Amino acid sequence: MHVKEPSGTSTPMKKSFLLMAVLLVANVALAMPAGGAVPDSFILVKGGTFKNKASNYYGKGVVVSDFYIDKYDVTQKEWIEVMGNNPSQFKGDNRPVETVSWYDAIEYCNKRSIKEGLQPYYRIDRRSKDPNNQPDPKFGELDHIKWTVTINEGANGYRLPTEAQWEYAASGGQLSQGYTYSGSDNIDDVAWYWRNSGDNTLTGWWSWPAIAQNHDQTQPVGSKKPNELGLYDMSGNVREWCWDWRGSLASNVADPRGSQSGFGKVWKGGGWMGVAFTAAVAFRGSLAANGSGPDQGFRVVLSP
Amino acid sequence: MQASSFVASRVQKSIFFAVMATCSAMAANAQTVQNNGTGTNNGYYYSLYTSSGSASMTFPEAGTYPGNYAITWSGVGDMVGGKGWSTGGNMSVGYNVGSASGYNTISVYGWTTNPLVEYYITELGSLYTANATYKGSMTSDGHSYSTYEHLQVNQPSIEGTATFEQYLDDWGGASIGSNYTVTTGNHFSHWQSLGMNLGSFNYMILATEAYNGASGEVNATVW
Repeated sequence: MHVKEPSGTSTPMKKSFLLMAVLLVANVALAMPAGGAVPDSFILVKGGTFKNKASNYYGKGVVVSDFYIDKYDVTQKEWIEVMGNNPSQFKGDNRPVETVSWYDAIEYCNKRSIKEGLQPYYRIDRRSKDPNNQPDPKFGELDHIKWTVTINEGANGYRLPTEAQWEYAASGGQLSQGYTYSGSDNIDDVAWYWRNSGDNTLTGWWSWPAIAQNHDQTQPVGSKKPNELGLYDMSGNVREWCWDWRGSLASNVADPRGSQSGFGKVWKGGGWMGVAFTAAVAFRGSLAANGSGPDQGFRVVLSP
Repeated sequence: MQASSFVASRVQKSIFFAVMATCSAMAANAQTVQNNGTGTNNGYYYSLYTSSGSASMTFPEAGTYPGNYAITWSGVGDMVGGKGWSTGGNMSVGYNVGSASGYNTISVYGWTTNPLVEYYITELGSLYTANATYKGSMTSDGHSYSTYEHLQVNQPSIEGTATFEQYLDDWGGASIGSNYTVTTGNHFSHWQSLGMNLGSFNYMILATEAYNGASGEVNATVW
């Protein structure tokens, strides 16, 4: 049965939808089960240079190759299936896993790869202290784990996004509309952050006591609008670990992997606890690799 | 007619505005904050937080003394409340604690961003400093303060979970019912001379803190 569209509005609407469909087909291919390696929730992000002027990498000559990325943060259900435990403070199968360190995220990637018959992307040496993991210049030694984690080049397993991959995807890739947050200039459209993630909408200044009292917390993944690529929660909900040590931004290079050394691993996207500016695609946060909190999670990527 | 009408109108307006102002002031002074809230009252920023138990914040004398506030609490796990400025900085903070009981500390309290720092200048009571690093002493406004630095690892902040520092200047010798001044710039300069740097100022209040199931009250005024 057909429903007749109002005359006078159908043609431009059809054109808009057609144009959107063409753009989506051209730039974002939904992950297909061909080869059986890529889960349905993954999206192929077509590579290129940064189109979003709000990005740190815009105009810097950085090129990102194609990659797959999960539309959602790693959920607690996914985490439990792989790791057999649940460190999260705010429980719920469909909520993002949180209170995970960077090392936890690395372990998850490898264990999930093995579970699904993929080659682990990381080599984890738990006995050798990583000389590239430096003391915090202000606070001293915060990370007493310091596993040496290196990349198993050519492996097809799960991995953390690099900072450049994360920011490219959050910025909308080639479909970018130039938003400040991932998918909108209005943060409430796309992100769970301190004002909107509790019992009531909070106003005034950021205040941890007020946030705790308001029961601010994580929310089910995918419950805000997606960005231009169809990715959810790139801004807000939980902050997302990236592979990189935080350091100077790369320029004029393809697929940068961050600094050789550092004292904090990059997180991006802001979380339910943070203020709005931390949810901007350009904001660069960092935390010691062994650090964790109830607003710290991650998502994973795959090679094409 | 027009003239009389004009005069009558002005008088009416004056009365109207006077009534409105009085009502507004009464409403502002009658304001009650239960357990949790932030906002402004008579031009001053206020904040109240309660973790378990109950607390109530009012502004009984704020019509006369805009910086006045009162808090009562009962069986609180933790309660922090006070009145001050939405943006702190170098200033002379005047205060008078008219009455207080059942509290742990009354401090000039605030925080800065970039770097993220939470600071206390304690005027009544005693800070818990057992796990902090003693950095020396300083004198300001006629009192000697002990300075401490404390690292907060993986604790809540405006950026989310973060590692940051608390700066603590502990005196605690103020008396009930007397006027005092805290020249905050002296403390900030002292901290900076010790390498304890501050960032951009966020709110700064004269905060009363009580915990461990305490019950009590405070009535204080800042200016």
